[in-house]
Amino acid sequence: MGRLLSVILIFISCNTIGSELIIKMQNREPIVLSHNDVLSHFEPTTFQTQLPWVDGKKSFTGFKATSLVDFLGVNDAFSLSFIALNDYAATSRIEDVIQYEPIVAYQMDGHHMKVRNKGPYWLIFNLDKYPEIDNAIFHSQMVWQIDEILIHRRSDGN
Amino acid sequence: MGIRARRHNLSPLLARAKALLLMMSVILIVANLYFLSSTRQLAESYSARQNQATWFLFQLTKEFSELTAITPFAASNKNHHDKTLLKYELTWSRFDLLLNSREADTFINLPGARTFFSTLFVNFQALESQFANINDPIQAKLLSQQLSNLYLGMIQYINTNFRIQSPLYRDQMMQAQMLHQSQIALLLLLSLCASLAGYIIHLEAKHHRQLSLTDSLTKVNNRLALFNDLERFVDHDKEFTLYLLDLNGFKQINDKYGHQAGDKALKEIARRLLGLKLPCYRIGGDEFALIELDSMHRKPIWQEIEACFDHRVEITDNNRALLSTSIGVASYPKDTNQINQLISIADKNMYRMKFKREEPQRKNA
Repeated sequence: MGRLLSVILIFISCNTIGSELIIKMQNREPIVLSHNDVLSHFEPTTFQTQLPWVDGKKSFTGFKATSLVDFLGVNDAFSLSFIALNDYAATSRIEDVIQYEPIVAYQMDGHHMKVRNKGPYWLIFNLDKYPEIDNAIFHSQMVWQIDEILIHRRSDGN
Repeated sequence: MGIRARRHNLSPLLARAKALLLMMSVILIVANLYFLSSTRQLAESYSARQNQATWFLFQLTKEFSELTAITPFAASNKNHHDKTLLKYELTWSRFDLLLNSREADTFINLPGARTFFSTLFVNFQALESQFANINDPIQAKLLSQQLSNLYLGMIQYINTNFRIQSPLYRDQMMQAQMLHQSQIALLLLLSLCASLAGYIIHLEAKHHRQLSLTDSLTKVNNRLALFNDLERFVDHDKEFTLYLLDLNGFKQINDKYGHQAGDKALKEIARRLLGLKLPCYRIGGDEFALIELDSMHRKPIWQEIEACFDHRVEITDNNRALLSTSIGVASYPKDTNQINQLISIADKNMYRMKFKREEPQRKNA
């Protein structure tokens, strides 16, 4: 069964190389969002910030991570895990997500991001607006090349 | 006299040396602190570099090896084709991160690293156009071969330069060793400075002590030195004779020719008394003292003392004066074993002699 599932997942991930985003929650079918879905369902947000991995200030456009939770009608989320194409993953506490409003960015300086430019999706915290989170703890949370987001709920444990 | 004069010249030199040593000590302490902190920084940079190098190289190696492995199968089906393209993109992004992100700075700035990885990245990018043809198995295999060459070159470089005994590591070890040696040298210098400063302070203390026991005008011992010496001799139970000398005719020189002339006379008398090779003291205006230790076994020196006054003393350029002295003697412990009494006995004897001497002078006047 597990093997079958992984085969299906590989199949899905291979087909979603473009810029599809998979949202997973426990006890729910994975939701696959095409890039058009992302554009139509979520209000775009843009801000400029400096990051340790790019030269100078860049403008990033994407949707707020909080709006994803709202969109799915989840009111008891306690953390979000962002999983990258290379299987790197990092988890952000919902308190930080609400307080610092990171975006799941898909544009840098008005251009869509290729995988080589850390696309298709990159979790960006506004370090210029919140200098207090310009540290290794938050740097490690800014997952790039995201293809999957896991929403953990308080009810998951029950 | 010669020794005393030199000691007076020594003082400013010592003061300068002391200031210099203090300054050097401060510089050395600062230098020590600097070396300590740079040793710590070097140690930190070891671990930081190690971590970053491990992480970034691991990421690049992982993507690159996966790309190399999957490329020959790109023509077999669409999944593999897409995955190959994705792996190329991912590997591309790892090169970009290694070369351009601030987090990789310390690693990529290691000698030779930037040149190697930049060249490798250029060669890697040069292969991009060939990915359009990977639907053809032969083309895919060819591309895979080229990727594999680049990949193996990278592994070779990593193996050569990140072994424990690599030249880079050896350089850093040598740097650490040099820092360590500099620290030890600096510490030795610091202790040398400290002991020199201590020695100079000791010399100064000795000098000040000498000053406090010296009569500033005649440079013979002063009254304090006399009491010190008397106490010392009594403490050591030495037998000695104390001679108190009071100059006759000194007040007249002062009155007639002025204090400068008087000072000149005192200096000359002191010089002559020093010639007797006995401890000599100036204990008042025109009062001197001499101590003769009985162990010296000399013939009575009374005559020798009086001989110091045989010749006239030059007091101005054109005037010379004849001085004489009244001498009072007391012996320890023959006359008394109390210092105060000893002085008092010598004093009385001296006045008795002075009185005797002045009688005929008055008659002459």
